[in-house]
Amino acid sequence: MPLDLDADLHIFFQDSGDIAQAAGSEPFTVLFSDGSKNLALFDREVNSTAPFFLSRQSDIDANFVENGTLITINNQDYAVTNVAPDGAGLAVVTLTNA
Amino acid sequence: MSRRQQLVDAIEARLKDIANGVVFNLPDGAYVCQNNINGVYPWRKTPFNPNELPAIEFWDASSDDSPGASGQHEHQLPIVLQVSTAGSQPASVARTLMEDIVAAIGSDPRWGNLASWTDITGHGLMIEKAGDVIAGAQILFTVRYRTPLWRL
Repeated sequence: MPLDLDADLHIFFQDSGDIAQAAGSEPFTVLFSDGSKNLALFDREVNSTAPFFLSRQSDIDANFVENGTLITINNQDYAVTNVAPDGAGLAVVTLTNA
Repeated sequence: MSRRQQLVDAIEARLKDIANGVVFNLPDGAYVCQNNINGVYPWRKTPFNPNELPAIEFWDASSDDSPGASGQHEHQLPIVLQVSTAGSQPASVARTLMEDIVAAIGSDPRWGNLASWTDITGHGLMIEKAGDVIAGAQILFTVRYRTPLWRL
């Protein structure tokens, strides 16, 4: 019997409280983080954040998530700036505040 | 108080005059400011929060001095000024902020007769993006002024 890797990955997401939903698509569970990050501009810095989520690549594909997609996570709107598949069924999606 | 301190105070006060609709008189006519500034900070020590922007910080750098005529020192004091702004179109806003700032400087390049002249020596723009999109614009200018010998 072949391994169902995608179903195995689902175990890690099913209990996450982070729900993502792209416009016109179904909600799916992700692991979301919004840590702090300072942006350096010339000689000075501005405080900012570095929102991103980890999700199954199958959810990314099914919901047509790509650069520029507007997506709502935990009732906060974001725009996708990068989708980085890890080649093993997961993807790291970086965001900016919409 | 040193002339250098007086100049920094004058620069801070002038930059605080920038507000949407304020008019600066320039040699080619009246210039109307297009932006509001939330704060002006000489030598600010801490990073800005995006909700503080747009804001200006500036600092006086190392002066290039030489003996002047009639027993005076001539100073060329470089000022590094940076304005930061956040939003969906921060680059275009930053460009108009740069124009407002240069107009504020140009409205009196002698800073109330504290200086002999001010030269704009450069300006640049950069954008960084993470959770916020932030544009930073830098304006470099040099204030030329004279003092009696052994005074700054």
